[in-house]
Amino acid sequence: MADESALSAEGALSEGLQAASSGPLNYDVVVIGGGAAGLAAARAAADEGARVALVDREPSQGGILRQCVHNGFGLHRFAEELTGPEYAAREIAALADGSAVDVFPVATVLAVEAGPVKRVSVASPLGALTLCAPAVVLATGSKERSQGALNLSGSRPSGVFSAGTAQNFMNLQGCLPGKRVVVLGSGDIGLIMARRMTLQGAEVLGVYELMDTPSGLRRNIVQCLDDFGIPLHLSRTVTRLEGEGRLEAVWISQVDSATRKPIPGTEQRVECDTLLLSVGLLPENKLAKAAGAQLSPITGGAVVDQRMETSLPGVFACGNALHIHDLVDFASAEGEVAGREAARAALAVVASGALSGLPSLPDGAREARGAQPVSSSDAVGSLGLSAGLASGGTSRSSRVSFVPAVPGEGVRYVVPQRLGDDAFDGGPVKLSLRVSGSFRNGRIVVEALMPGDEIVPLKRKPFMVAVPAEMVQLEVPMSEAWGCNEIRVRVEEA
Amino acid sequence: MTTVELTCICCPLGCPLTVEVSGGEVLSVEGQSCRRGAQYGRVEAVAPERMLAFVVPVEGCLEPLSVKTAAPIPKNTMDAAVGQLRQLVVHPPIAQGQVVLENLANTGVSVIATKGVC
Repeated sequence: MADESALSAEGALSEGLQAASSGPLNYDVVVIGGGAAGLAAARAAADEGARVALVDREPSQGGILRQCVHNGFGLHRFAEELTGPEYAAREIAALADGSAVDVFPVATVLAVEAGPVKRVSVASPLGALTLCAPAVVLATGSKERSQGALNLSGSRPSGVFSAGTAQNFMNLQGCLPGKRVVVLGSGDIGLIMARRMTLQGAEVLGVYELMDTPSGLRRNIVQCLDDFGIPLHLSRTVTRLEGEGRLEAVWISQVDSATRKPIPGTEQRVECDTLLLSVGLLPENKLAKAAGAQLSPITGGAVVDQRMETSLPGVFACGNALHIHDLVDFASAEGEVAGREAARAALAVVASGALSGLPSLPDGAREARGAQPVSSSDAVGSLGLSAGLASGGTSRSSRVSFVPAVPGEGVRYVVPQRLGDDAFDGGPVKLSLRVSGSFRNGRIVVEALMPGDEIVPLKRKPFMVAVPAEMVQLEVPMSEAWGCNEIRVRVEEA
Repeated sequence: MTTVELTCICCPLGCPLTVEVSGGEVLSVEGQSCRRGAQYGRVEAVAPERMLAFVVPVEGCLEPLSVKTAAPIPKNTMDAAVGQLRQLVVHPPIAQGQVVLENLANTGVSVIATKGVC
């Protein structure tokens, strides 16, 4: 009953009820996911004049923001520090404010079928629905890396939670997950949960980190651990669980910082009833993968161009589903780009009449599905999208090639991974990247590799500190790179 | 005179600050990269303060209410503030932004709801 900030979906519901018996529901854009990126995408698409459906699996929208009750969100987007629920409420209010978006809450998307018309299969309280649209935005967020990825030996008692699950229990369900807590992993969620659990009355015994540097932000170490006297132990990991029924202790080993393997004989027993895992987030991309979108092995998200369009024409991706963000503000901004571009692409298809001769049959959609094998590299170059385009699925039939944007020295990844022709004749293009190590007083260099080995510098951004935990964003003017073979981003040390 | 070593928490840079204090007065702040850092160092060295976010039970409702202090409170009042908030139970309906407790731990700072329940 709490949190009545959920959008009223009565319009969509009644329409949906009719449609459940009368066939697919037609939209211009279907946005999948009602978190920060999805809300911003839906709003941006509606602002372009598109008919938009927003499908969300939760009863109320806001995604992970709803359980992030601490403050520090929105400095970029709203120029003030908000808590997660406050940030979500603003986005929901903006969406409800006059924009024609049909929200489908408590609705799970089972499949997205690519093609000129995307068919989105939805299981909802209304029954099984099919939403059809020329464009789809994937804003499906991320999942937490789980216990299974950690190779823990010993028993399998209760009391082991991912940090986000514990956060949900505490902040949305009012349950304290345990009393004596060990946190494994020094990611920001783990640090914030160490503070939250302490505040609500649990004893947090320590945070243990595999690496020799903390993976969360320094400010969070200060305000979440130091403020409460919670020790941070580096180069340590949990190697064994002990307990029948409920967790009774964890065994902690020192880790060789070169090999990152536990050192035999260093195991120590720490009595606790709860273990929180804060060991990383992974983009949620089952739908993208099943639809045939090319995924990046580095980000775990789809490969996109500067318009956030995936390798499947008309399928867009944004937010944590595309790559893991540190700041929700950036996920919202990315959602806006994806929503706007999805709407423009959809409306262009509708205006061109390309859909009039196409029955919205699954068979037609299957033929046009441009399933690409997953590349082993981010350097995608020009993809064979012409087959998909020839089937009449998109108005942008002039585009046949892409320029790859590749990570150079000191850079782990760059999003977008490729740039279409229109990236070079408009305004600056926003690049998001993460560095691969810790650097001080260097600069990020973006350059174009032209035919004939000429290198044209496009942007140099000096920095004092660059670390993998912090995403870097750059606005890069691309007009001088017209005709280049590759855009390269690298770190130059002082 | 004493020297206090701090890490600035204003932004992700996390600048290492060196603050010189004498008799409760800040003489100098060094190491910051911006004015916010200097201000943080000035306050943090002698009278540190923090925002406090919390959840409190709502009568008749399983989902708790998330709340925050309307302004940062002195760090040395944190224990008293947390103790007082742990006793608090609120009654619906509550609108987002509504004051649910005034003068938390005699700081003069209110506690406000960060979402609505009804």
